[in-house]
Amino acid sequence: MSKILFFGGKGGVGKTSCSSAFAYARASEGHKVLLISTDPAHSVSDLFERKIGSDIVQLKPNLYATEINPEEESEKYFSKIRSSIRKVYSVVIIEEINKQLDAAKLSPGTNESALFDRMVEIINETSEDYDFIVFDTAPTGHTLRLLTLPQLLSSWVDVLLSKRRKTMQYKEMLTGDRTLVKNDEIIEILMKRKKNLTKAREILIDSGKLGFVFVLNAEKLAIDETIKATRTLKDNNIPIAAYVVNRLLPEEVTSDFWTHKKQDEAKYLAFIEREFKGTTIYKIPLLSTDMKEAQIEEIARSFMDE
Amino acid sequence: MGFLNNIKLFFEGALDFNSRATSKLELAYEEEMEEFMILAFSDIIGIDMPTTYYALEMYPYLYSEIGAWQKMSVNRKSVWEDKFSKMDMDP
Ligand SMILES: Nc1ncnc2c1ncn2[C@@H]1O[C@H](COP(=O)(O)OP(=O)(O)OP(=O)(O)O)[C@@H](O)[C@H]1O
Ligand SMILES: [Mg+2]
Repeated sequence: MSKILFFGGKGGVGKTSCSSAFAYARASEGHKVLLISTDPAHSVSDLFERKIGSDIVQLKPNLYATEINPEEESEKYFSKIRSSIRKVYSVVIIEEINKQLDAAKLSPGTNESALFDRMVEIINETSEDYDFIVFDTAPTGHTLRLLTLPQLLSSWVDVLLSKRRKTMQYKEMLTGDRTLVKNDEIIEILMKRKKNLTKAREILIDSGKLGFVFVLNAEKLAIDETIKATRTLKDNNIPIAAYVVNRLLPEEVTSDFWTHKKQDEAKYLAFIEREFKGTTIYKIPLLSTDMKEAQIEEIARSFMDE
Repeated sequence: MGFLNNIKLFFEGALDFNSRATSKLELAYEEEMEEFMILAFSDIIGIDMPTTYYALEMYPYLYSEIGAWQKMSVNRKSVWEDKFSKMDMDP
């Protein structure tokens, strides 16, 4: 079964480490996996100690990766818009439009929107080629917004299309020119967007490929937040594929301090298993060093299906 | 006098009829166009939507229409806001 998984959770819980290890595990089982980082800090590059960038590169047999750079993506979008102006207008107007575009580029939503566009593009272009597409994301709220965007954008595009068609039909009646609807660039632009959104929705929603993976630590606060976020995702009909409890203390602890810690942890872990019963729960040990490729390989074992 | 008046009325009525038929169509045209503009470029009149970025690719093609609409909407901002809140979002 091919899957598109979004790894989410609070800052620093281990999203990058766990999504990479999960991807590593599936790849070593023989599945073809694409790991996508949406993190502006390029932490997947750091982890694998090589530059990944915006093209898809191969890391291992079956394991591929790419990093989405929202600034680069929005730059591409803006230069496409700029080149479409050159065909239509005089120099003075082009300058005026460019000024407006420069201002729009600075607006706070730009990076997130560009990120979403690229995500949709990657899903549409590659979902046939991989058994798993694994997204390493930024903190949860932001991801939820991204996951609910296809719905919102689709209805927005539909309303715009209908209004634009009517506008052009009226204009045809007013001017007697019967080619306006047929040749309208706006309708063409909107139709293209609609096509991409519909395809992404078919892949993600209708074919049931989308799944969210929560990464958390066995702590009270983290659990409370995960319960809340779980509810929000369910309200938005986004299926939860798994929970990953990261940084579990080793079994063989010696001092009283760590024994107590371990007891607390066992209590929280039991709570997690009760609360999220019915969904896969992966348990990942705390390692003595920060993550590099060797450590990823080590925790990947916890993601293997026994 | 009565006859002339009638003629005048007749022509007025005829002319009025014509201009009303046109203006009805024009009105419908303007209405659809304005609603499109509000939904696509609401940020220009100060209403931010998560769709702003995605509308930008249409901006160059609608540059002159947006200019005209923008001038109009400066005086009629409250009218737009009212319209915006009542607008039917179903296509
Ligand atoms: N199981 C583990 N054992 C030891 N160190 C870990 C473990 N999981 C994560 N780390 C370390 O914790 C730090 C944060 O992990 P990671 O970058 O995976 O978190 P993140 O959720 O992706 O963070 P961000 O929210 O900043 O993207 C890293 O230094 C990583 O090496
Ligand atoms: Mg990260």
